[in-house]
Amino acid sequence: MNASAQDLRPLTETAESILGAGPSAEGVWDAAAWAALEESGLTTIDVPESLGGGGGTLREAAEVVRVAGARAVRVPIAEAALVGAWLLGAAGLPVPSGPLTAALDSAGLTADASGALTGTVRRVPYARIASSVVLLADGPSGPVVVVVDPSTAAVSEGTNLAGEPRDDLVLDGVSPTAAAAVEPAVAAELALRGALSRVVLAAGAGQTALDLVLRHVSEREQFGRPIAKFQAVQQLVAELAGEVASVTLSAEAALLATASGDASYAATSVAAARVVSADASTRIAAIAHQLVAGIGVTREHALHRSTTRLWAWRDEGGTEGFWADRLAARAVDPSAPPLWQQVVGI
Amino acid sequence: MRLAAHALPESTRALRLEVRAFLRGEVERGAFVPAVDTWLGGVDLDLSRALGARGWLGMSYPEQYGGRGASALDRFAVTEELLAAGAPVAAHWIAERQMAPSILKWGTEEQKQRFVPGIARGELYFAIGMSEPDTGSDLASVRTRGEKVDGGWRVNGAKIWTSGAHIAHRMIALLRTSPREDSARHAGLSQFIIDLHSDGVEIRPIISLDGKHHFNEVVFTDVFVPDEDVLGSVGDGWKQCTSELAIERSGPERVLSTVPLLLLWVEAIRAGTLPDDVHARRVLGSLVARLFVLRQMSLAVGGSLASGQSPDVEAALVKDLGTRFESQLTEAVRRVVPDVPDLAGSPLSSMLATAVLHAPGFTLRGGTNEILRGVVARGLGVR
Repeated sequence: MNASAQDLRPLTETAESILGAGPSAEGVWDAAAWAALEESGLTTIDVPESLGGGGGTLREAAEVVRVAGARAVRVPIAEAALVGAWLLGAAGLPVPSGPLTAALDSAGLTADASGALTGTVRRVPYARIASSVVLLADGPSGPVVVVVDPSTAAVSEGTNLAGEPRDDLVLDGVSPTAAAAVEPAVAAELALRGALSRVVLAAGAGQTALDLVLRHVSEREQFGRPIAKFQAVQQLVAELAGEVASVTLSAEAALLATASGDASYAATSVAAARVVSADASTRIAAIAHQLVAGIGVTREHALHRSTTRLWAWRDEGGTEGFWADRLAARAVDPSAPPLWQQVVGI
Repeated sequence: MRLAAHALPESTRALRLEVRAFLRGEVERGAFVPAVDTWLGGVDLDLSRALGARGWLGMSYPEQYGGRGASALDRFAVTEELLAAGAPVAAHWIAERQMAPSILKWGTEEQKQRFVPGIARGELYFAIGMSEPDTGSDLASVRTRGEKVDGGWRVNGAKIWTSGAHIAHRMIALLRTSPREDSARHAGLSQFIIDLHSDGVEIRPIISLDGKHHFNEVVFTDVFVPDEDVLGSVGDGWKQCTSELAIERSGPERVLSTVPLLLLWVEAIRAGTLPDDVHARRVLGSLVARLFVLRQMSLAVGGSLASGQSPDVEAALVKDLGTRFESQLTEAVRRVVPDVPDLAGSPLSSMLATAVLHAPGFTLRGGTNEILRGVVARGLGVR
């Protein structure tokens, strides 16, 4: 089974036309882009139709997120489409309208017997502008998916390296607007979903960084010719392309494995993609800045929109080290299959 | 540039388990000791024949030539198991991977019948004759020449870095058959299937820096090659030769050469005989992640090849990343384990030693990484 790019092309084109030709303008968030995505059903692609979603696939939902990552759009599409909408679907809850976000990790949040929520949820993307935040709380008899109106909580504003809102939510006996219990496995899957969302975003941002570099090296002239004519530049461009391909392929492989239903292989696949994409993001940003040089480190050039996001996303949804440790723990676990079997899935 | 993720078909599952069980049995009965980089350095004719007898060589060749008509992805799975097990597969490797497919693609019916079944049986071994003393990355500069004579060709010159020529029966050599013109550097080249036991062939060992004999210089002095041993069309050598490159460059052996070292290290941690600490785990997790993704990239190129595409640029890109990983793995493990690399030491020491001593070759053989990046840059329109 191949993750065929061909099948996704109409969706890619739709997302690209909605999200515009280039990275969105500066500002806290892009309300118009969100409205267009929501109106087109692109925020809830893989939610069952019975719950108000599009009944599509994870691969399709991820494609929209990849495009948003490439365009550096200031909307919580990755959180809504790959995490929040999925959590709601798992809980059998309908998707509320309006800006939707989700916490990639809401450890420490508890729901009491009456359903009231207490705890601090850190670094929630775009919480300050969302009308609904989807969280996973520890209930008296297991995990509970809850929807919170952020105006009922204390929001402490913060940002990531790219200036994207990452706000702490302090809940002190807050009543959710909706809640439903889920299987215990959902907690582990949530971590994977969060990680996967960052890999998919990075695939988009990495490609944009490469595109910007390709344009720059063919236009910028030094010593009387485009710098692309220099072998030293060509070597770096090729290395950059290799790193971008690593992120893209790791995302595709993780999506394929997640859709395959083999939970343990999917977990390995997502963790591996998360570590490799983080490491590759570091290299992509470094090489791209080296090649675009002075203008690239300014706000006048678009490159920073991609590279600051790559730097931020590589440690969101669990740091690079967290996921490396997780892979290692399973590799050395004598009760787990031998490492080679974990790598090939058989 | 386009790499699409693949999952191996279900049919490969049983096959993989069968190969894995066989290899485990071979190790248990002492038939071979797992090692790194065995597709260069591990010659074991008994194992090659045993694999052939089980139908695990030349699986994707048509049945009438000794194959099974299986998918190239079946072969991918078998190849991965052989490499992960550290099995000595060098004797048949080049013939099975590259030479039989070339003969099947360009050869005559008579050549297919004469050579391919023996390759699939693991009995007939081939060497590659591309590099020359003055021809490394610039392959079109080959000077070994074939001159037309009655009934065949007279060959003079020398090929170098010829892995396994001392055990091979034949070499597919790229020769110059008409004078070189600067305006058409790739014209006038032809491929020949040269019998290495012919009069006038001298095979001179070249001892590698680890003291082992993998490479040779093969010198041709008035060697007669009959017309029926021309491969494909005279003058089409460049096209034929470069069409093999995606196959040569993309296989799992461009990622997995040192993986037996990683697997042995992990087994030792599991067994409690090597330290398990925070630092070791961070290193290990990073290596597992990269192995996982590079293997998926190799599989993506393999899947593309299996569906009839020619992913030359993608193969070059994956080989650049994969071969660097082979060395990075070695050095990462070396920095963590207490064992000192030693060819005569413990299994882990010995694997480490071989991996360190072989590492320079990983990023040279089959096209240097700098040349590969040039291929990628050109594919991106930057060159």
